[in-house]
Amino acid sequence: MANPAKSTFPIRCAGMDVGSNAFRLVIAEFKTPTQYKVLERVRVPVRLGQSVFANGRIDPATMEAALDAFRTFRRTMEAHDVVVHRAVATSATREARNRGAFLERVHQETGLDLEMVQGTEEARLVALGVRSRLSLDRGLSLVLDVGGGSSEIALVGNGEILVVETHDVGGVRLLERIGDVAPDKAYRMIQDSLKTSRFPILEYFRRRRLERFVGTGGNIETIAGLLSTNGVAKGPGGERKPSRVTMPRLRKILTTLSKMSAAERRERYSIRPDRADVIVPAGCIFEFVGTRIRAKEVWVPHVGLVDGVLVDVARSVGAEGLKALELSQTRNAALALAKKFDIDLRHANRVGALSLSLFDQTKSMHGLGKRDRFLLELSALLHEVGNFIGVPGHHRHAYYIIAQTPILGLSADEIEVVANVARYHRKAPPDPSHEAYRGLSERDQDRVRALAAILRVADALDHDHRQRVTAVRAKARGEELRLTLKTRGDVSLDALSLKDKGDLFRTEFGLSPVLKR
Amino acid sequence: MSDTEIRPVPPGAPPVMSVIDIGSSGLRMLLAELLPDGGVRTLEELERPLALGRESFRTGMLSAGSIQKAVNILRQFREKMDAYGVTHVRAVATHAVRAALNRDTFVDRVFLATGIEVEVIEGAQETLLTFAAVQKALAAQPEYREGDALLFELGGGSTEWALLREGEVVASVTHDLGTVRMREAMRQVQNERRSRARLMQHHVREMMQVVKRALPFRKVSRLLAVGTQARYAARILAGTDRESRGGNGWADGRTGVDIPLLAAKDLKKLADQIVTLPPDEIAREYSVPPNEAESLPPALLAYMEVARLCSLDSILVPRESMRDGLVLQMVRSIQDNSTVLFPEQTVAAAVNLARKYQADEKHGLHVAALAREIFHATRSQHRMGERELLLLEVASIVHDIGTFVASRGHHRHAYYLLVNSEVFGLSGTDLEIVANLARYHRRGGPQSDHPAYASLPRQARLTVNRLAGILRVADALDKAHAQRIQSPLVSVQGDELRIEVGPGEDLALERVALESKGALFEEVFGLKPVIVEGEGTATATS
Repeated sequence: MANPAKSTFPIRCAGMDVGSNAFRLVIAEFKTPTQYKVLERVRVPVRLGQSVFANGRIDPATMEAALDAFRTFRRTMEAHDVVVHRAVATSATREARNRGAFLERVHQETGLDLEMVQGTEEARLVALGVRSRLSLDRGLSLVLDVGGGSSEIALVGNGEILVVETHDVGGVRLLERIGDVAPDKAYRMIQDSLKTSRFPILEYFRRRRLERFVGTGGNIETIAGLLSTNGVAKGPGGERKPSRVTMPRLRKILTTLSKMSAAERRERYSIRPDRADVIVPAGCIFEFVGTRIRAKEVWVPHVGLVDGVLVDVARSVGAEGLKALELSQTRNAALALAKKFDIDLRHANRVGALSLSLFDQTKSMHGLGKRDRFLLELSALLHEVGNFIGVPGHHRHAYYIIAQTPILGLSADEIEVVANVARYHRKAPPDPSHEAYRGLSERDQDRVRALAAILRVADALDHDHRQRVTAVRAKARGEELRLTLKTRGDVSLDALSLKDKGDLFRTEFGLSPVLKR
Repeated sequence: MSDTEIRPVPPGAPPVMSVIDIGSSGLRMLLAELLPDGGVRTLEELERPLALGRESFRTGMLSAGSIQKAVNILRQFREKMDAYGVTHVRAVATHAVRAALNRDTFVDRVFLATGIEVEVIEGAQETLLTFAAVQKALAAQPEYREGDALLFELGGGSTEWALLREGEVVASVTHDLGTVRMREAMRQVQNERRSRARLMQHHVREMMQVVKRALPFRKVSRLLAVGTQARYAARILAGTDRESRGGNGWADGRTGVDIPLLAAKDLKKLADQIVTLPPDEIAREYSVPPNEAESLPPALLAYMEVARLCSLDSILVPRESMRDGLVLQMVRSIQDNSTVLFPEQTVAAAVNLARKYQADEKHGLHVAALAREIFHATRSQHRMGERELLLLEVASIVHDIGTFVASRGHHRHAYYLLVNSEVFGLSGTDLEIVANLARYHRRGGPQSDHPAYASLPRQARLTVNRLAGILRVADALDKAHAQRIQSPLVSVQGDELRIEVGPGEDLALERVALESKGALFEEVFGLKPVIVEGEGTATATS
């Protein structure tokens, strides 16, 4: 995690990617939050995925190899006087049953804190890394990162990340899915198998024009290398330059490779052994997506997740303005979720506005901060997603949906908070007998209660979904929280539900919300 | 009919059916005969008042005295049944017994004393039976088949809705606004006409928004209300006690001639009169049972609002009751050995659900067709019937809906979505079975430490094992979602389930999928599913 002991530029930052096939470290010096020069790149092959995807655990030997890698990283960072660093762990760690023990040992023995990120965060970081090398400022671009266990897709519009999606298809996983068959059959089976996967994000391109299709990850980089006659061009400082692979050439090389055994591929093209088997399935994912969105070529910027992590660290020490951009990206992600579940957006937005207004006016009571305010905003936006499943118990459905859906820019803990606040927008108040609530840390339980208390009052003020309450003023008087409303039309029904929905506010803050006439 | 009339029962005579309904205010029995042409002739109807509901709603129990009275009535019914030589019996108890904590005692006592097995049915089943009867009755009346009609029952805890298109139920939904919640809401506003009316308008509007979202209706050409409150309203407005002379008219084609009707303006007049009256006065004035009297005013307001929102000036109140539905179901079980009431509609509802969650509809239907083949081919192994087949088909159609939430763990999401959904024609237990099937269509099979599976009754667990085995095989056969295996010949030969396909198709993906997904089937049935290439489906019989 970032440790901004010194936050003035120039500053040396490091990013680490704890992936399925290898661990990567990149160290760079930043002149500004966006201008930097890479000082060193390290790649250590640790087959975390092999161990986890096969037995669900990180076995002792792999664990030792991983610890060794982190010790090397640590020494390298120290040698370069790195000030801030961030290490993210992806699907292999996420899926390991003993991940808790793993994170703990890494912390104990190397002093590094690994952060487990969701697939969507991964996609965001990859896109961030790509933007440091390739301009995505114009039009609509798609960034596809294919790993061993999963693929991450980010949709970038005019430089801003609009939507991200994560899929559990990856090179290694596809290979497992088809089993042990002859290489030429495998190619066809992989193509068929991909057709069964749903990629809702690709629907965006039904009616819209694609500007750039960008591919990242070792497999497409290897393919790009095979296709260029004189190796990959390097720019100043030894960093590889972006290259292009046209779709026809991609198809051709896949057909050629698919006729060979892994051993032949190693010999003919000197492909690394750990790459030789997965290169075809991984390449197929690019072919599949590229065909669906009618791309002419794949841009290969030769950067990956680790570069995104690096850029992100630098940003976190940099301008606050960039934070706002992140918030808007998170908001976009939540909005996409809300739309998918067909909610009444006018109601959600009104409840959101009223919630935030109440939050600000009751600051002295709850003492919560900016981030909590943001989580409240998202909870208000999403509080009715459960209606799509069914109206009875829709608060519980909302919890289920939100908790199951990674939201860009939110940590797993924050998603739990949002899911719980949405859950408690109606019916029974938070109670230790509720499993999901009990699973929260004490601090998060406090947040959930306070935010839900506010959300309930705001929801009552738009109880009939007609946006008749346009603004609210709140004043504490004795044992009451007196609400003065600005309204359009009659609000007596909303007032009625305030009696019920103000209960949590009363128990939480000792004030009964009442309408002042 | 007099009590002494007894029919002789010649051999080979048509089946004689008895349907008993143990309700809140009395016990009723219908005796009818199934005619060779499939028609039903009513032999006799009996009704004995007994206020079981008042007791069980108030105290949560049925007293020994009441149980004894019920037993005495059922003994008389029993004698009657014996006299008619009844061949088929179905006795169900509804709300009053359902609400009693000692309902098992009641059921057992009745069985010991009379040999009649009473089945306590869920509210949703009750509605389904009524809807089935109404649909059947209306289907016989061409003038009631045109366009879209909404059929609904305002119950205590919820309102059930069904959309009838050209006379067929095509979709349904339950909303949790019932008379209980309406009464609660009424208590919160002042006892004044306008504010009460406005409150109901608000609640009904909310409900209709949900209904509109769930049911794809266009212009509603008629509204059909069934249930207690609608019947009271119709009776009061008609000014006479018509209801007692109504009954299962469809049997001899009497209904439809004049279906009672609630005109919006009459509803309004009546509502204006009673909406501010205390319940006991309503009960006295309009001879409505006291526990129902409090529900009548909000119900009237609700009917008015529903009519207004559908731009109609009246609501029809069909006379058919749950008992007619029971007869219908019994006829079906005698004729087709099936108790499934709405097979096509249930399948249609499943397809709607799959669409809602954007699942691959073609794949779902194809898996259903393949599953059906396997089900039939292994009939002598599993001995399951039409109901289980229906559950298998529904599960096949919806097994992938979890991908809407997230593709990772989508089988678990499907479980969650299904147990929280409704599929017209399926009971709560049916849905749980379907949800478990979707849960087990991939990844680990049923395990006794999975709570959702373990909490099912034993019989249901066995059903899940067998059907999940079949579903997995069927799903594997369409692994590519490309419908490459069309009408295969499925047969059991030795210890193999042979799936014979035409030559020429490259089915490598399906074979590999079957390798892993066929394991459960093999465990359950002791048959190894294999794909074999025949010379073509036409010649390859053996």
